[in-house]
Amino acid sequence: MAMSLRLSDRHIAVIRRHGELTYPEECGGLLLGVVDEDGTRTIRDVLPLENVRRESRNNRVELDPLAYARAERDAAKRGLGVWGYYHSHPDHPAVPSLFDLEHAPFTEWSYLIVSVREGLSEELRAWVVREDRSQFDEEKIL
Amino acid sequence: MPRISIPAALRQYADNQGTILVEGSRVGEALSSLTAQYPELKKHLYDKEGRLRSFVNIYVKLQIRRKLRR
Repeated sequence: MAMSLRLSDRHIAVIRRHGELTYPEECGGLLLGVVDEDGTRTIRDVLPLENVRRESRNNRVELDPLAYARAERDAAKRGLGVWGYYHSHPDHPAVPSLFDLEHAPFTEWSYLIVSVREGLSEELRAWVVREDRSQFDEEKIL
Repeated sequence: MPRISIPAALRQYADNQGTILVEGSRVGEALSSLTAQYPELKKHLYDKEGRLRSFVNIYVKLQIRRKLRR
């Protein structure tokens, strides 16, 4: 399983900005890219999406499933795939919760979390889910 | 025959195909046909009790059957 994620400064800036703009609510989006021969997921595009959840928006995010479906379809047209998901943790560390673990869709994805405290983004960390879904392991961001 | 589009993350378990032709006229039948062809997909779609994982979304003609929620 790939243990590194390649992400440009520009993409990181998009994610940080999304987290800051939506604070104190959570935000979420998708990571589009390719998987290199060595298993590294190289992100070519970041897709911020709307949090469509109606309640608990400060600690829960829900993406429109059709937006995800469209992202997969559009990514395929560009020779890319959806290889990860990011979300923000308002006033919490960039460490996945048990809820995050229970709801992680794919063990093949990278899960990026940005901590946003008092409206400013701080740490940004990437994680992968073990194949047995027992826990997350931290992933190196290149 | 119905066609199932496979998300990028799961294509490695379906011979790297993006679309699979399946048998069946109902969603359950189509999924059974899919996992019969590609058994490795089963553990990614179903939990140990044989239930469809909560975050698996089924789209039929762009009508969502279940939401993706974190």
